[in-house]
This record gives sequence, C-alpha cells and structure tokens, in this order.
Amino acid sequence: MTLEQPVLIYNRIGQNRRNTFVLLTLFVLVLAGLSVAIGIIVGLPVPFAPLLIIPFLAFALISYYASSTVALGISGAKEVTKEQEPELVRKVENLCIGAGLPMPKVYVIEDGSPNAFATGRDPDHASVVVTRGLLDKLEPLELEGVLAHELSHIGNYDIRVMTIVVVLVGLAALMADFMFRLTFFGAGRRSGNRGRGGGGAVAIIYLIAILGAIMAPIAAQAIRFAVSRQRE
Amino acid sequence: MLVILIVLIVLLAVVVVAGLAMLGMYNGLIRARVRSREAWSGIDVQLKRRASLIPNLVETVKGYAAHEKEVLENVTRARAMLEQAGGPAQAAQADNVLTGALRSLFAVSENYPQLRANENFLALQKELSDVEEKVAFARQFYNRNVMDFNTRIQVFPSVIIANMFNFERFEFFEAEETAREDVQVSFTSSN
Repeated sequence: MTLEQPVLIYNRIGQNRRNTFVLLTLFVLVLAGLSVAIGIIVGLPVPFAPLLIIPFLAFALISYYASSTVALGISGAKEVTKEQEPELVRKVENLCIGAGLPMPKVYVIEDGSPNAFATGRDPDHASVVVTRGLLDKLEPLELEGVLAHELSHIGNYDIRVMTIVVVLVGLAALMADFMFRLTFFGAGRRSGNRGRGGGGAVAIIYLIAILGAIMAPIAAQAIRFAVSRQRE
Repeated sequence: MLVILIVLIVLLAVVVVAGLAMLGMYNGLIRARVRSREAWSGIDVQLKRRASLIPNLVETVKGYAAHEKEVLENVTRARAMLEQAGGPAQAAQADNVLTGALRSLFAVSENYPQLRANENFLALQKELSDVEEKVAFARQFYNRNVMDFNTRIQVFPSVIIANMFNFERFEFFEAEETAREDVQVSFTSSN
C-alpha cells in the first residue's frame, strides 16, 4: 500500500501541458511561415501575405474542437446511461473517484471485436468508448483495467496532445500540397517581373514546396505514431 | 561605477528569481492542500451515503430476525461512531468497525432464507457493496494527495514556505493495527 514516490498524475499533466504549449508554438511559427510563402507565390504583396493564415487557422480550430465529435460519429458509438449499462457506468464512476476525474460520457459500439478508446480535449469534455465485444469477452477486473487505462489517457491530456499534433501536421501537409499545386499554374512568374532578385527566392520556395508535399504525409504519420507510442 | 551597477542588477535578478521560486512553491502548496481537502470531502460524501443506508437495512433485518439484537445493536452503534468521528484517522477507525459489524450482520442473515430473498434487502446489500467500493477508491485518491502534500511541506526548500505560512499536515485515512484486531474479536463473539 505504501509507495516510495507518490504516483501523481498532476506532475506529469503539468509537463504535458508545457510540452503541448511548446509543440503548438513551434508548429504555429512554421505554419505562419508557410502561409506567408504561399502568399508570396500567389503574387500577393508582402504585407498582405500573412492574411492567408486566417483561413488555415480557422481550419485548424474547427478540426481541433470538432475532433471528438468526428471520432465518435465515425465509429457509430451510442451514448449509454446508468440504466442501460449499470455495471459499465458504475465501474467508470468508481474509477473516476479513485483518479479524481470528472465523470466522462460513456459510449458503446455494437461491434463484436473487443476494442476501447477515449476521446476529448480535456477531462471536462471527455468520452470513453467500448465495444460490445469488449464487454462480452472480458472478465470484470479486466474490463476495469481497460477502463482505467483509457481514463488515464483523459487525465494525462494525451488526447489533446495527439489531436493537436494530428491537426497541425495535417494542416502542414495541406499547405505543402497547396504550394505544390500552385507551381503548376506558374504563379511565381509574376513576381519575376518586378526585379531580377525575385527569381532565386521563388525557385527555392518551389523546391521546398515539392519536398514538403512528398515528405509531409510521411512525416505526419511518423509523428503521430511516435507520439502515440510515447503516450501509451 | 559600472561595477556597482552590475552588482545591483545581479542582486535584483537574484531577488526576482528567489521571489518567483517562493511564489511557485507557495502556489504549489496551496494547490496540494486544496486537492487534499477536496479529496477528503469525496470520502465524506461516500461515508455519509453509507451511513444513510444503515437505518433502512436495520429495519429490514429486524422484520425477519428481531432477536439478533446484539448484531443489530453493533451496527447501529458503529454507525453512530462514524457520524461522530472528527477527522480522517477517527473516521477510518469507525469505518473499519462498521465494516466488521456489517459483515457479522450479513453472516447472520445467512440463517434467514426469507430475509435473503427479500428484494429490499438484496438491493440494500448491492448498494452497500457499491458504496464500500467507492469509499475504497476515494480513500486511495485522498491518501495519495495527502502523501504529496505532507511530503511537500517537509522537503527542502518548500518546508521554509510551509512553516512561514503555517501549513499543517493532513491525517491519512487509515485504520491503526489495533482497530483491525478489535473488529476480528467482535466478529467471532457474535457467532
């Protein structure tokens, strides 16, 4: 019963929040840079180029806040109440008391293969999902273990970290793709008229765009898997 | 002149950094204390729920096993003890005694098949076992937070801040060894 070091998630949560903040800042800077680059290629005067950040930012924010809804919608999960699944809801309730977490929404997917996940950007907006197969196949204690694991993801803000990573990397891929396609339309040539110096910079941007378009999807998957394994 | 200026700036920097560190430690202590208090209220809620189920249970059992007076009285007395408990350590002891008394009660009820079949009795039994599980989880959470807080107010350097502002230790929600022995004795004596 006695542990040498209190295993408190609060310390790790603090770290997660700081990591997320750093991650976010870095990504935002990179994406801002990319937006400006796109603006230049398209031929916008330099002061207006940063405005392109706005639609991309809107896309990012919408993706982030809708991520839970999308995940739940795609999986076909149905919310359950205490009357519908008393044992399951009771287990989640008790585990939340032990972890000091607010009670998340509980969902069940009517699927025979055993699976479980958690979604939600913070503990106040979280959901836990299990499949019918999991409920049928596992012993009560095993089910409790799985639920405790998913709740720990909620409590550790892992889901928020993952969502942000996915949204931003996806956005980067989108932008790189956008830049790549712009080169087909010869968008850069307009700026060449204004002076000899413009051509070299544009060529480099093309190169970055092409490389980006190829590497971004690969990098996106790699980063997602790396972060996901670390979170586990 | 320049040297004096540099020394002053360095001193200022040291003071600012020390001030920020102290602020950070103080806030950390406050947060840990608030968490511990909240965790205690979590246990309290569950204990109260448990206490509220007891009268109904005693009445139901009396309906079928009225002459098992000793066992019923033990339960009622243990419940009263729990209500009067002041503080986590006392509450933990009272909780242990109540658990023992309830165990005797349920053991005795094995002899009364009609009682065991009673729906009210079964529902109460189920709810009681759920509340006991909740108490166990709440206890785990509380003790963990208390351990964190108690450690913070003792380790250097936050011990300085803790003493400056009179942060006091929390009691753990744990029964002492002797209390557990008492429970064993009452179990065997009522059988």
